[in-house]
Amino acid sequence: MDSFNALINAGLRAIAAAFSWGPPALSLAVFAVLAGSGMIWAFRKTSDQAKLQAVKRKLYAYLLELRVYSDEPSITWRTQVSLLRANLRYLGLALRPAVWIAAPLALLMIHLESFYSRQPLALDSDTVVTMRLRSPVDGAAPDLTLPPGVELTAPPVRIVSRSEISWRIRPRQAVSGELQFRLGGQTVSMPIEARRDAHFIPGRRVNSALAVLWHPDSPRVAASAVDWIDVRYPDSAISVFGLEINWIVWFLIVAMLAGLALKKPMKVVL
Amino acid sequence: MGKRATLAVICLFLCLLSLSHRGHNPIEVAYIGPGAGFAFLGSFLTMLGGLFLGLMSFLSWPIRMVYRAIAGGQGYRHAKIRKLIFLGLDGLDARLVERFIKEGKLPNLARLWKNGDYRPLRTTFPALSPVAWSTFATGVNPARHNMFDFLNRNLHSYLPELASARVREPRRILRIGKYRIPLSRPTVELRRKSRTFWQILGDHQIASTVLRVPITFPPQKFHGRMLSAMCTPDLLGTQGTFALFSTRAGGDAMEGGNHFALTPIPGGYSGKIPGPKDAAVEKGPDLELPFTLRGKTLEINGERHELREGEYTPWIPLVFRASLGIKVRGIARFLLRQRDGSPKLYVTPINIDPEHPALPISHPSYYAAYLAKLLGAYSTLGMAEDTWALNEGAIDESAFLQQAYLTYQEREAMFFSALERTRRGVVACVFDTTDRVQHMFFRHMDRGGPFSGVIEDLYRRADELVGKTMQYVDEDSVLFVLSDHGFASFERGVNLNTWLLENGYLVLKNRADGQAGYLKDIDWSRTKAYTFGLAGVYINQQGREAEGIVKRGEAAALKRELATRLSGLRDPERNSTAIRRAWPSDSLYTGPYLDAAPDLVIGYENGYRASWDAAVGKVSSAVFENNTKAWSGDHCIDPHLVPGVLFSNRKIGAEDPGLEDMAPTALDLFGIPSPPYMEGKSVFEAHVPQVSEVPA
Repeated sequence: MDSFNALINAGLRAIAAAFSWGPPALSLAVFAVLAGSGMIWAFRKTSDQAKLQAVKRKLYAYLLELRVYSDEPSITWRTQVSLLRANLRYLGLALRPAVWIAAPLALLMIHLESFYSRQPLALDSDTVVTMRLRSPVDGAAPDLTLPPGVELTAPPVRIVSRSEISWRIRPRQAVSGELQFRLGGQTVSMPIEARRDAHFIPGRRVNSALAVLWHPDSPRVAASAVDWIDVRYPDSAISVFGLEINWIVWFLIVAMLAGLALKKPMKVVL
Repeated sequence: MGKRATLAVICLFLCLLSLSHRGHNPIEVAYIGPGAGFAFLGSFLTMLGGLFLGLMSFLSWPIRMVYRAIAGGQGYRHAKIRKLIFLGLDGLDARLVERFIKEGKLPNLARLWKNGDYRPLRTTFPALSPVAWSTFATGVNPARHNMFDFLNRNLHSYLPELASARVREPRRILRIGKYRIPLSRPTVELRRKSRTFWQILGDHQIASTVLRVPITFPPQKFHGRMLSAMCTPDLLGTQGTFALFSTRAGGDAMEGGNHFALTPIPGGYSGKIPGPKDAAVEKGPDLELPFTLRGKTLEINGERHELREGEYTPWIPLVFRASLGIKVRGIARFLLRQRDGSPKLYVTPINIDPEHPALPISHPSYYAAYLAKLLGAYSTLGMAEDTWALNEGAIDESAFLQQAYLTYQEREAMFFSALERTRRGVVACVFDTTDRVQHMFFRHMDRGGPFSGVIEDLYRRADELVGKTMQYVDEDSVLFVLSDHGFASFERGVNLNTWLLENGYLVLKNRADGQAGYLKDIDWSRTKAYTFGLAGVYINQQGREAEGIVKRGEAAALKRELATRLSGLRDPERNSTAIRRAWPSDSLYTGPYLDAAPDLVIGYENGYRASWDAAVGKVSSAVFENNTKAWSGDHCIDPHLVPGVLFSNRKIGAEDPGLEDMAPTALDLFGIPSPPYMEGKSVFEAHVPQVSEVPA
């Protein structure tokens, strides 16, 4: 799984790097267009286009029928029922491609989170690093070795009920390094980014094979005692025409527009 | 895609969803791609739109009721029934119907007769569909509705014009260089006058659905729904021009169509379908739509269509791209035949696309699109069945029948869709396949051969249609099954221009042989009478026609003279009577449009009709000639010989009902008095119409 994630990450990084000269909204738009095209293609391949076309025509017809027979309330109500039925049928037909598309798209978006959902740690601002253990916290806290330019501003705090230990740290200068934890003879590292131009901010580092689906940015934690390690980064926003918006909104808009633009050339019924 | 694979993906999807609460943005998980996103968003908007429209309809109901009360319509207060159905079967012949009923071949019509009533239905002078259905709709004689034939003459130029409608260019056009940007829509004028019963019912808030009743192009506004019919043009502005593509050299002159050569290309052939003129350019060229044919694969407009030999395609959208990004949309069916290994591709006339009509073809304007979305694309051309293609040998009998019954099925779907949605009011629908098939197969009837039973089969199908329609009739409904005229064989054509020439009433220009169409060879300065179209003879009257020479005072005497000489005209070759009687029009009609009528209406004997040349204003070498075309049945003869039929689920009081009685009947059934200008009376009243005005 780690190799698979690394492969995807490498690809995404390459694309992001190619557009690193522009604002993040640009590279995200590129990802969105690629995703939009791919999804439109997948939609066409996995849906019953003829049936979709037919049910869409019925939907239009029923909408027009509401106008054509606007003077006949009984017809209007009957049409509402037909409209609802056609709608359900339409949704039913859209479900299969939606299911096919959901998995790869979710995977892509989870990976993109590392690029766009977080921003690097601000200099001279505190943040919290948390480690969850797989067994109750009963001994000494793991040793934490900080990279140069990062200092510990408070001793570790144990939250026994959740088997978690937290450290408060403060970067004093730009850093792109690793936090080193020593635990029961094993060393575990966690990347840390505290520089202005960073595009890739890895999220939580996990141990579980299932959880790595959701946190694919870094390889799994090798130490069996550790469940996950997390650095709390500030949330990021994408600046589009001076407007700060959640990256997912921008992605959604661009992907939708790309889909809409490609609908006709790719002869897809949506 | 296997079921297991689908199941696996569904499982993965559900698995991902179950994990979604673990710290991820819900919007991220909810978003499932642009395609599905559109589907869900579209679905939501559709429901929202539907609910909004439904709510608006519900909320505006009281307002509409108040408006109706103020507008003065009486609604259904005095109605004797809730629903009135007119099932028009164009050209259903009284004698054939009676014969087939006697032979037990039309059980539903027999049942309708037994439980209700039946009468032969008097048709109009002349017995032509545009005239007859106009009288049906308005309840007046032709001199009050101004329809006398398919064509009428221009009194200034003598050029024949379509009698029912006139399409004019947009009134305001912005000219920039060679480009013309229309600032208004083309004007389409309905030349049929008087008011229809559905308009009068609409004034009283009684809604009608009028489907393909002839002479309803352009559609008029009224309280109801209408789809135009006869005389609705094709995309070229004609009454139907087919295209035939083959490997033979093209350019043949064909009546009603054109022949083009297919150009060989690697792996197949290419061709160009001619379209309308590029109206966005001054003196714009004809638009063309290229296509390729490789084996049985037709590629057109970037779409591929697999053809099956001998089988029509569904309606294929054709998009002609004019200047300034303007698109002109039509639809056509294709039929592929192979002859000696070479393809022959027939393309139907390009019908106006009902989803994107280039001209108004329905009321309300979106009704045509509604029907297309609900039931699929359908023919919109006035005369949808391509009789000329069969006449000219572009298609054979089987292909024609196939096309005719495809049209019939479309009409049937529309009709029953309207019936299902009509709780009260009027549904009037005319099926013209019955007319077209009789025109083209009359020569085969009862003569053996593969098409001998076509007309009987046609009547049986019509009977089945009646049977299905009867399921929508209850005790509060009235059903009329009617036709506008009957049918007779057409074996001999009569060219009255030639007769007029031989008898000194018509003179040709110097060195002209009379073969130029549209009266172009006639010397008007010396011609007293002429003919064109199917209805009759015109006097070249001074002060009326631009170059008229017959003084008004002499016209009546000339009419009488011609009527006397033409009545009983004999065909020497067959030694039989060709014309039973010629009537001066003022003995048949009264009304403000009498001047537009033929001055003499000709009542041909069974087996005769105006010849093909006479119909287009030519003068041929002989007065009589054999009709050699596939078009072998006709009805434009003495109307007494070709009555229509009238079946009703109620007893008919009238002894001799006529088409003019139908509009007053419709009004009477809804308790609305007929306007004084309407000439007919309700058929449920016992009355004898004024037949004295219609001498036999």
